[in-house]
Amino acid sequence: MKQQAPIPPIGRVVATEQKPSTPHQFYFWTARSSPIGIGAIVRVDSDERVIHGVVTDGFAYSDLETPLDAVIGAEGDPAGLIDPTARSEIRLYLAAVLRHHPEEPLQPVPLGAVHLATDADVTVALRMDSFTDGEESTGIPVGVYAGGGLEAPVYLDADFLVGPEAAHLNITGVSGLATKTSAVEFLLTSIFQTFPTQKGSVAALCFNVKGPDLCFLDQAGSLEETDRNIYDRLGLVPEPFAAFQCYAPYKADGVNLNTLRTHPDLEGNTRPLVWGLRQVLDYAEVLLNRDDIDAKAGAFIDFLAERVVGQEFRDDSLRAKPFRVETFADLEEFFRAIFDWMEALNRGGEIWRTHHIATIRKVRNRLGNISTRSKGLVTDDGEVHDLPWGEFTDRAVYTVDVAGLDPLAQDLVFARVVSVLKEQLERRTLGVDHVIVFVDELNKYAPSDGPETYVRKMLLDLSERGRYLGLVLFSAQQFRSQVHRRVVGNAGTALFGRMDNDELTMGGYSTLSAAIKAKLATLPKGELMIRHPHFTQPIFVRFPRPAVLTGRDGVQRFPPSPDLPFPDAVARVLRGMDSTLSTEEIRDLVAGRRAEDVRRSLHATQRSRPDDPMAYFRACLGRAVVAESRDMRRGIPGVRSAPDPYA
Amino acid sequence: MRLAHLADTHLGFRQYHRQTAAGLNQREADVANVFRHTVDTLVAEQPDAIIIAGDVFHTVRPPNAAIVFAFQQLHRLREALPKSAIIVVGGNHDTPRSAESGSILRLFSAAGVDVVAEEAQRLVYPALDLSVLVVPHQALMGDVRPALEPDGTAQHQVLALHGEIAGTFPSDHAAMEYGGAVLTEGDLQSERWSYVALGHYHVMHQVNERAWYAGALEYVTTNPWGERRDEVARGLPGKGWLLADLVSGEVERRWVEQPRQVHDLPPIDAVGRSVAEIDRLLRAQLEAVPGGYAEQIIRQVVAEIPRHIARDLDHAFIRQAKAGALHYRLDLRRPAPTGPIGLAPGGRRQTLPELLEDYLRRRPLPAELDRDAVVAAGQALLNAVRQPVEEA
Amino acid sequence: MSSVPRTRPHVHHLAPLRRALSSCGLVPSSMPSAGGLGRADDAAVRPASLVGDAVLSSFPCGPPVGCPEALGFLDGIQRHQIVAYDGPSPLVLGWVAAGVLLRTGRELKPTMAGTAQLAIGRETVLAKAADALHGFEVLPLEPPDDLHPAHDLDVARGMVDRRRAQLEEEIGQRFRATSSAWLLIDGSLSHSTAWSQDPRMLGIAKSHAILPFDGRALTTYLQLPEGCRTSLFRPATRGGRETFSWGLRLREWMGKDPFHGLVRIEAAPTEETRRRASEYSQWILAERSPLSAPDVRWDRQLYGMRAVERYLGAILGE
Repeated sequence: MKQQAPIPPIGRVVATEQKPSTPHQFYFWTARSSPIGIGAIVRVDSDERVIHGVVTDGFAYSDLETPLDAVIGAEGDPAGLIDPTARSEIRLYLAAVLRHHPEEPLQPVPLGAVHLATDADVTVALRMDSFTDGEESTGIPVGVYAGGGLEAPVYLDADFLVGPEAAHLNITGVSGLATKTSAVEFLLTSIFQTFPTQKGSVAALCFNVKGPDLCFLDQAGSLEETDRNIYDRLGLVPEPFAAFQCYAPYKADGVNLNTLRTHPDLEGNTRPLVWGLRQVLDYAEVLLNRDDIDAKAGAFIDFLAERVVGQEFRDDSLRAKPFRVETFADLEEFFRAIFDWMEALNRGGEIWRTHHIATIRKVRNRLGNISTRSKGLVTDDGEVHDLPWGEFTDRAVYTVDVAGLDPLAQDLVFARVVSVLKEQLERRTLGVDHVIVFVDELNKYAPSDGPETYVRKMLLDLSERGRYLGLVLFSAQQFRSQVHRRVVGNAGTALFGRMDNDELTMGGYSTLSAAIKAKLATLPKGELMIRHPHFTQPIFVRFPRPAVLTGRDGVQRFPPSPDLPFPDAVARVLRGMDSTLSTEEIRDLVAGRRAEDVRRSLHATQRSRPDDPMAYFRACLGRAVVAESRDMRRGIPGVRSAPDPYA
Repeated sequence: MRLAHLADTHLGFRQYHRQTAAGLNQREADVANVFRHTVDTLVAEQPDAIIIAGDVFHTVRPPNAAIVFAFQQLHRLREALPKSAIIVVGGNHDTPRSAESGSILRLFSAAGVDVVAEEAQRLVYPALDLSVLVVPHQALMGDVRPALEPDGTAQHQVLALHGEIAGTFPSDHAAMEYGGAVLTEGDLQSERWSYVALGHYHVMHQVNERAWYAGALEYVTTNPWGERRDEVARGLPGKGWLLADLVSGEVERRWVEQPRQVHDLPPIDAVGRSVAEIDRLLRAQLEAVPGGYAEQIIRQVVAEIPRHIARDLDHAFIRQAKAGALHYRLDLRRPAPTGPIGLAPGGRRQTLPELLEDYLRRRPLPAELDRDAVVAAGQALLNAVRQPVEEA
Repeated sequence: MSSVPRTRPHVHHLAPLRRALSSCGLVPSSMPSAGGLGRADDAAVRPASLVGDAVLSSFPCGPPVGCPEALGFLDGIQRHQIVAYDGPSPLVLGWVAAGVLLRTGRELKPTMAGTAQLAIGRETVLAKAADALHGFEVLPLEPPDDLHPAHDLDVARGMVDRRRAQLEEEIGQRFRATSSAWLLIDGSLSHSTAWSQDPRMLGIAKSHAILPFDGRALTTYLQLPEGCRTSLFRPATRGGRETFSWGLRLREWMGKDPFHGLVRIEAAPTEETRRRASEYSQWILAERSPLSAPDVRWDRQLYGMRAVERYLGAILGE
């Protein structure tokens, strides 16, 4: 275990009565020119034991007894002659112990020479030897530890990142540096390339909640030499995600997608996300509990979902013909029938099948809201485009772009997608064994205060039970302190990018030294502090830029197509399915046709993905029948005189 | 703006063996007479437009008499109503499967009416401020259906279509017409039309606020009793056509008088009854037909009647009834075929309905299903398939 | 440079030694030595002769200017302690250290150092303690004039003092053998022939126990204004080598005592010294900062010298 380092020590442990060594920390001094810094990993060699530690604080002293001496020395003039001799100054560092060898008996750190850690030291210090050695390594590279010219790979343990020992990852960092998104993108690359095959398949589902950040994961971004070196050092190949699909709802016009990924070159794997009444109704609780939790409304929604929607519903008192509710329009008709019936009763008409009219009205308004406020997400004609449930593939990334949706609809998308993931993972019908769900702005979805919402309950459940199912939450937020404690607390791995100073004053960071906080407050882009179950102290690592196009670059290289006039937008979608189609032909086909009909036909074509999209679309749309003017004319009189055969 | 909507005239329909004095099939003559009478009424009513929503003829190659008759009647309408739009729509009965064969209906444009038998056409009558999208059966059978959309500036936008609206027909298919193109109610988008004139279903029926089946003018089916049962279930007195006021939205049902009635006499349960008793019941029920049973179309079901009892019935009387009625169908139903497929309590072999019920009572079902409802549905289906088979 | 001592004597860890001496039959003692931290000079006036000027005058030196070249600081320290008695006769241990810190740029770097640990006592004492004194330079006390044990201690202290001076001279010579850098010496150059002739050495005497003037000249000497130097003079020495010397006022003394900030500079007795005395003074003036506080002699002590003393103290394990 003891390292035979050819390099001389860079410091020596000092222990005084005022600053004694303990089993968990020690002080050491270095030359002023030493490359040691906060976060550096060091090794202490003494005759009996080897200790690894990480520098958590630093101090500099001069031999000045009082500042007055400096003033006198300079004769009160700060701008005076520069001293011919620099005052002697020493550097003293405080290090937290990462690991002792031998581990027992646990003793204070002895006086000894302090060395900068080598690759091997980093492995041992972070206990990575326990999961990166051997055939069945579960190490997932997360970056390099950089110290004193050394770049040592740092690994996370897949068993603790993706489950089952622990799971989930949470990233905190100020917005604007793109650290959070970049880190997750890089980490997904790393997981996809190194997740051990014996552990099964893994896919990722990213919610894009703002801008175009996660929309170009299939496009290669530009990397610098330093980035490539880190990839190389970690044994990873810098390449974008080969299997990628982006799902986005439509804008209100129903043909232009509500995403920034609308460049024609990217249409192949940009898909619409459109839900119908059934999909909405199953998660209607999301829509209710923003303002009020109402068991009565819940019961009525259950009634609709179980007895009315998607089946024949008979109620002779409402009308003779059975209801067949498949769409919002059908539902509206159903509601109207109830209200008419109540009106007809005139008095006492406040209860229909144990449901009060106020409850029915509330549910109708909420459901109506979602279909009008999120026109592009919710279709009224029953045509549904959904995620490829049951057909998720290994190492594929699915981005669901909800950046353009209103918060209520975001909640709905979020709740339904995660719930369905959970159901399918439970039944093992999703197509993959593990799914990593990435959610930014977690403080919005699982805030530490505020009313209990469906989404927050779901996130809590996910963070507490997801790991047993293979459902892993990668979450990010600017202010960790504003996120529900149980959600962040259940994240086995925590990453910290540059932090806001105010945030660092919150209680959750009290275990960090002032120096670590200062470092966190100024952490450069591309560096992170990591907490991971195997690491006894937070560790700083540098990670490369992700090998994918950033949102900003993506929008520049693939500028979103401007919202096209309706016929051209239709043509674009169809040409995305068959590039040989001519825009002119499609334009002619839809010219003069009602937008709703065109939309319905287009959605049906998209959903079916037929071999011949144009023929299919044409068939759905139907042939236009041109008008022919008729004059009244007389018939030929030839048979008038013949006798009536049946007379 | 008044629109007369009739459908499924089925000229040339023949049934039973009774002939007229002129040697024509009596039912063929009945159908023609009702149509002639209807034309008389139309001439008197002077509607602005007349739509015959398909199946003018019962077959692709109708009898010559029917062709001549149709020509005469349409010509008569044309002459009497020179300012009215008269539209004839191709239905599944009078449209050949193969497009090359050509439709007989084409002939009738010579009578001065607008015939649409193959492709959908949008006929605009500027003088009436009327636009009619006419969708014959054949237009719905191709790969690309026409778009069912109103168009143009005409105030009155009418859709005339021959086909089946899914979910409209009764589930036991008693009065089912096979072979029609199937559409959903949503396809019609009725709310966008002033009126939707449908043909194919022989029972008058309102699909939704603006979409109607006019029904046939006569019982032109192999199962008139089933059709009659549908009518009774829907509270209809019989057959007729519709007169729609496109301005007020009111639709008036016009009933036509039938030359003869269709009677389905109450079934007689033979269980525990002697031959004499059954004979007496047969006689009593027949004689109780209002207006007498002569020249009427009558069915009498006798259930659970063993072969030896049936053999001893009063066949002289039965022959007499058959001669008197236009059609007297004595439907003698044997007890359920016996076989080693199950025993009812007491050792009696189970009937098929009993066996089915027994099975459905025991079969594991998803918890959310109501068992009684499943049993009832099963029985209904069984009845639906048993009936035509037994009639045939 | 590698002449910094590797194995270091330690003035505090004496318990093992005391146990060993006890087994040699001596009585261990832990009495701290009075005046162990310094040298004593008898105060006196020894008139010097002026070089050039007829009357001792003062001259403004000009603004402080840091020595433009590499500059070394040479100093030594000494400690002594009684560790045992053999009857009335003490066994005195002494430690001396001398070293040079060389300033290149603004950094002081230990360049050279030497130490010695001494055991001083009467022959009988040393003979008895011989087994416990491995690693010590054993120095017998000169035959005593009287038997008072306090006298033994004074003599021993003088021996330590001389050994320190000797070590300083050795280090100075070793330094000069490897470097031609300017060297500031703490104290006088006159006791060394080599030093007194070295054209790139300046001695900085902080002690004014021997005053070079009396009467009116002394007044001029002691009232020298800040930033000024006196005329050059040859200090009178008892058997010392000739040097040129001058007084230099480092800090304003008014309101304090006349010695405040007053140092006496020595240099080789050459024409160049006469010509460059003011320039050298400017260098010394520049060394006023950084302040050498908390040294009690901070008004005269140069920061570089104090750094050497701390360095040597660390070597001796203080």
